[in-house]
Amino acid sequence: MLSCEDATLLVSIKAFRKLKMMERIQLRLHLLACVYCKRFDKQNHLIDHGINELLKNGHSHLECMPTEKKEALQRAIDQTIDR
Amino acid sequence: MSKTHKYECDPHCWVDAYADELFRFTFSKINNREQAEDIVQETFFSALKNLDSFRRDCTEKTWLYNILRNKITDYYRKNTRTVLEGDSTNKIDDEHFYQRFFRSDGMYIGHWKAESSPQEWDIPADQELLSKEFMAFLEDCLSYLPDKQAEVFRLKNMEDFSSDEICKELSVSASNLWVLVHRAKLQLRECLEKKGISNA
Repeated sequence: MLSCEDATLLVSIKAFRKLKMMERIQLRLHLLACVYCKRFDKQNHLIDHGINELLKNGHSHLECMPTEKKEALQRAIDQTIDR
Repeated sequence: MSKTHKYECDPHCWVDAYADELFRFTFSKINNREQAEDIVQETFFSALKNLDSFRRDCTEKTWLYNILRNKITDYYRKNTRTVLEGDSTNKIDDEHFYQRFFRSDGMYIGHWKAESSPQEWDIPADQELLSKEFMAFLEDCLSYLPDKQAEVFRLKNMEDFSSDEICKELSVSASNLWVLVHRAKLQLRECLEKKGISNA
């Protein structure tokens, strides 16, 4: 039977490549017996979903540059123009 | 006959008008707040230096975006090199990495250590809409990942690269790619749990 280390490897990479038949069977058997890896599998799904949302749809629309940075930047630009 | 429209350009208004928008665009591409701020700053100064080359046949916003895109490409080039050069620096961690999560001896070798084993999260696995809190935690945890691991997810999710293409881009073998992904997932999960996601 797979160790948890091997099982979590298969869980981690299944979004990247299709598992081979033998790997699928071994993983399924392991997940039936191991509550921790079953949780890892569920949580991995959420993480994949979240990463996809974050990277595909961009970050929060409320993200801004810090005000003090913007003020300093505008001052620097103004000084450069006036020089 | 209509004359071609000439667009105006006023650097005195740039920061107010475009800083946040350019920052968001950059941050979504490189996932590093400070670097994103630096790149936006460099973009403005580069534009300022090359004001003469602004031909006014496009808006200043389009022009600034063009400069910004070049800066982001430069950043990737530089960063990919750093990522590749950083290859050997993780060797010591390598030996101990898996020991943080899995037992290294005894009858249950390779099985979860009690202190690292996944705890129950109060989020249904099939949840379509993830909470803002979860996304904020995940975003934070992603920023802690080593560059090369984070790059794998960027290439897959933003560039739609296949595994083969990712291997080529990062100059790693397929088995090394799986190790990178495995490590990233173990770390992300642990990071989320440490932030208290199980009680979210």
